[in-house]
Amino acid sequence: MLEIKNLTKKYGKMLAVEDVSFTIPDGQVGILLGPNGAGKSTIIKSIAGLLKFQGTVLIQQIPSREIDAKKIFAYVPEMPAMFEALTVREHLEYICKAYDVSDSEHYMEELLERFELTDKQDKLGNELSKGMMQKVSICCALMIKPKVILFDEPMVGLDPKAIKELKETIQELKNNNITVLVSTHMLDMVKDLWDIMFIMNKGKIVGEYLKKDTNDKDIDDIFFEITGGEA
Amino acid sequence: MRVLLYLFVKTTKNRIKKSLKKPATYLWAVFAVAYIAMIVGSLGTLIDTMKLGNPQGYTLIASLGIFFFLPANIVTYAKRKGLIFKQSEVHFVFPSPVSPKWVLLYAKIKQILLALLLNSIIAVVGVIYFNLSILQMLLYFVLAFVVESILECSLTIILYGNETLSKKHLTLLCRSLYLIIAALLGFGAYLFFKYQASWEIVQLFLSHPVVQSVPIIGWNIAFLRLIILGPTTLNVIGTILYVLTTLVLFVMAYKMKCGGEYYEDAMQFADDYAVRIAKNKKGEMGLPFKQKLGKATIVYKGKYAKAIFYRQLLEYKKNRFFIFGVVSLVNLIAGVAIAVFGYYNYDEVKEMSAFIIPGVSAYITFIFSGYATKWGKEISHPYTFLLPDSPARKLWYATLVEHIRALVDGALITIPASIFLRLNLIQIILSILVYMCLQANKLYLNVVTDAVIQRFLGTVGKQMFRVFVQGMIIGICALSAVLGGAFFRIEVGYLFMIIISVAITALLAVIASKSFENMESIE
Repeated sequence: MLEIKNLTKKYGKMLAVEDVSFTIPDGQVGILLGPNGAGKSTIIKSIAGLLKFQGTVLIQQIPSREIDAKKIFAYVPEMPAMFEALTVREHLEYICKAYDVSDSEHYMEELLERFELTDKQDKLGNELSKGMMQKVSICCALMIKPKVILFDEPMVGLDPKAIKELKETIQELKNNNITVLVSTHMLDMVKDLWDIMFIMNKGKIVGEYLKKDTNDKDIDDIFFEITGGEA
Repeated sequence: MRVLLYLFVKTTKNRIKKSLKKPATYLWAVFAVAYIAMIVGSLGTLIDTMKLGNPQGYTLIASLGIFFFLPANIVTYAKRKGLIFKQSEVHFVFPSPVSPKWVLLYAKIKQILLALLLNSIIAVVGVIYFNLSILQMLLYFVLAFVVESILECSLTIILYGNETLSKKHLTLLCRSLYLIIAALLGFGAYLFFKYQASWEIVQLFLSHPVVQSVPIIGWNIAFLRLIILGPTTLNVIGTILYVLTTLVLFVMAYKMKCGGEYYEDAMQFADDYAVRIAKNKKGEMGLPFKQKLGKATIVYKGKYAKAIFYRQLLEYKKNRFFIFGVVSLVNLIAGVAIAVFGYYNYDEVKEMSAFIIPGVSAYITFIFSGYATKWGKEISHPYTFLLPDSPARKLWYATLVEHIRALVDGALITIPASIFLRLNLIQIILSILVYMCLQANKLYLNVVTDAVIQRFLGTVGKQMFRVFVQGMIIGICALSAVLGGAFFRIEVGYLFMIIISVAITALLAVIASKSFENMESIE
């Protein structure tokens, strides 16, 4: 479960996120939507522990800055940045060591195969295209076998096959009772995935919907009703 | 920490493996070894000349190092700077279950290893040139390295990783440090005027009880003096305080709570660092700070490629200092310096006075050969290539502002200098033209090297090639000027210089304009 309580973030005097609270229960997929500059990335980075903030972020009821919370939490940033002197496989090996993942060899092969990285596993980080980097970043996050996973614009730069794999992966994570939060602009991509939707505008949550309550209403319609056409 | 060690070892190993496959690595290694050998070789003569080849001399130099570097390091940590974080670390290390304190130490590892290497070289130099015993040097090397590393790591954690001290407190700490340094320098100035108006005052200053009593910095100097020169009451007390402080700071750092609030600043640093590295790879130099832009408007009096010129002008109008940059300031300072030099030494240099400005201009052109201008960015912009105009016109309008800037910068160095070098009006105009020509051929040479040479020699090779070719151009111009001056008149020499320089510039411009045909050459 991921719980955000009264999260406020200021950059100097500028208020980027104001008193945001929401919860995503175990095994549910939350999507965070909003126009540019709404504060989505700030929330994602705050949850990932990269920003200072006021308020509380709990991962499986553990404060997010604690080591025990980090052990069960994975993050896929919008812009992947690779270690330029590590190969694809070494990135995954590093993750296994950093998160103390045991019996990882078979799962590693499986992920590499699934995201078509098997023949690229000996390539160095600085030899990869943006799409490849995104795939490695996703594999690294999955390698952790997290309880809570955060995706920030995960589909940008991915080829159609990888997008399909990612969608299936998110579905599997959900089936395995993992909490997922996806921040995105690509409404079509998350249409079939979400359980809870949070719409942000000007640093605040302006709409919160459960899929079961929307009577199969189109995600675009809900979004544009709330934001007044801003995408 | 094991995982960070894994990361460090793996990345280092891979880097070494990769560079061993490049022939350029061996070339650079030969250069580096030759350079170090040259420095170390010439050090002996320098030390002898300055009569520093004894333990006192060693203490003096090492104390100076402590005096300048230690407070600077403390200030940078307090400002959450001085540690290099990369974007890959923000992505993979910051969110991982590794203690943020270990992450700080991981960033510090490179500095510690560099210090280890430097200390090893200093130890060898100490034995060879300063008549210190191997045992003494070994003792100093081990103790100084170990104690200093513990002290610096503790300070790094306490200052960089603290989550209780407010920004106000840290600013206060930095200001206090500046104040201590200023007071010490003031004390040094007092000694200079009161006792001994010579460089030997540095020795007197650094061994003075007042300096050795300053917390951490002075105690560190006392520690050094105890090991190298033997015990005195003062340096024993200073050493005890130094070791105790290190111990206390270590315990404080160990116990301090650090949840990783510094990640936000480190992430910002990583982004800025990535931009800086990208610029370095292109061989650009830039200002270390972001310039604030104001509001401005422009009327476009032309179309097609001419629009590039007006757009650049608009950008410069938004700059706080318009078209004046760092080079303008340097030129003005150089102009004033030449003027002062000319005022006092005119009789000695009057035969060659006309060539002083071109000589200094050439030097400045060399030094700032990597300085980025708006023009440099133009050629990496896809829109430039899409504009419906000829490559030659694009090249001309993309560089026109730079020629105007060269005219202004040339005037800034020439006008103050020429008054005291007693140059006539024609010589002044010709000097400015020489500066413009130098800048112009640097401009076009840069395009040619970016397009052709970088592919074969890489960034560093490209820069060396530039320096070499521009040196040759300046050499040819200088020779023609001297011959012209010797056989005819100085003005004729100048004209020769300008004509040859313009011819070379035109040739380079023709070649460079080819680069405006498509982006392939630049990429």
